Amino acid sequence: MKVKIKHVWSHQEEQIVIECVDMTPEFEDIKNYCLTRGHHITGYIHESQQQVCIKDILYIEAIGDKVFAYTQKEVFEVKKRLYELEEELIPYKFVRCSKAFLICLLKIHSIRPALNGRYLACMENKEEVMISRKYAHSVKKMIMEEL
Amino acid sequence: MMEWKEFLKKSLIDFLIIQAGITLAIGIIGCIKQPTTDFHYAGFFVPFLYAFFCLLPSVVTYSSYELSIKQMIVRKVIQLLLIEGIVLLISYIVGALSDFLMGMIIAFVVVIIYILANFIDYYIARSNAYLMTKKVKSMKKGGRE
Repeated sequence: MKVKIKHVWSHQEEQIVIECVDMTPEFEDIKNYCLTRGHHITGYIHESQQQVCIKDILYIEAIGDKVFAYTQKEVFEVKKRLYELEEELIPYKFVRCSKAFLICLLKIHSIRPALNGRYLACMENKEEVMISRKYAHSVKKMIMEEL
Repeated sequence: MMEWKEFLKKSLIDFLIIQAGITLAIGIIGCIKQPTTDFHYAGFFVPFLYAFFCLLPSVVTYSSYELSIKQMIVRKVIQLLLIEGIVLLISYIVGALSDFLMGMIIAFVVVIIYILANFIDYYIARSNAYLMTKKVKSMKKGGRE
């Protein structure tokens, strides 16, 4: 397989063009990898694969072995571990707020105290996500350091 | 590990709040009930003693896993009952529990200090929450610009 690299002058012009006879699983993997490296992650609704724009995700929850990404209207299963997403999504202002949750700081509407050192983050879809006592300090630190 | 560190930090704040509350309570009760009683320098250590023993039941509120609101309320009630028991016991040992009325006053003061300590905790948490909300809002505003 040939690989061509062409230099461009701006980030806006950057793109990857896949030229193939058939969209084989290998090409599908390359496509998904490229999309993931951009501003999307691969999500699944009833085994139907979709690209989810990271900027649309409010929070991510791990339930058992499965991980779900919540947008305003939809819930996608993400076939990655929570700790992998935690590292991958740091540039998008995602932070671990409890053992099973990652929240996007930019999608928080307000924060209020809960009992015993915990907080509740009210997200833009009005859902409330618990910020546990264990992670409250790191969430606060990340919020303060972002400015 | 981090959670244990946070727990100790919170306990230290509680210790100082309890100590201040007990000093105030001893002062007020003393003025009302025994205004002519001499006060020895050793008396200054009494609030420390009370605060130290009152802090021990805080262990019941510690958990390595996340407690639900209901579980936490139950543990808080147990903590308050243990503190009541400890304070009344220390008061009896040091001879401050002169009669039933005094026992009732001490028990009532313990509830007041407990509520005060929890209120201060809540107030600090509310200030933090307000500050975080404000920062998040300005972060979002900055992102849109």
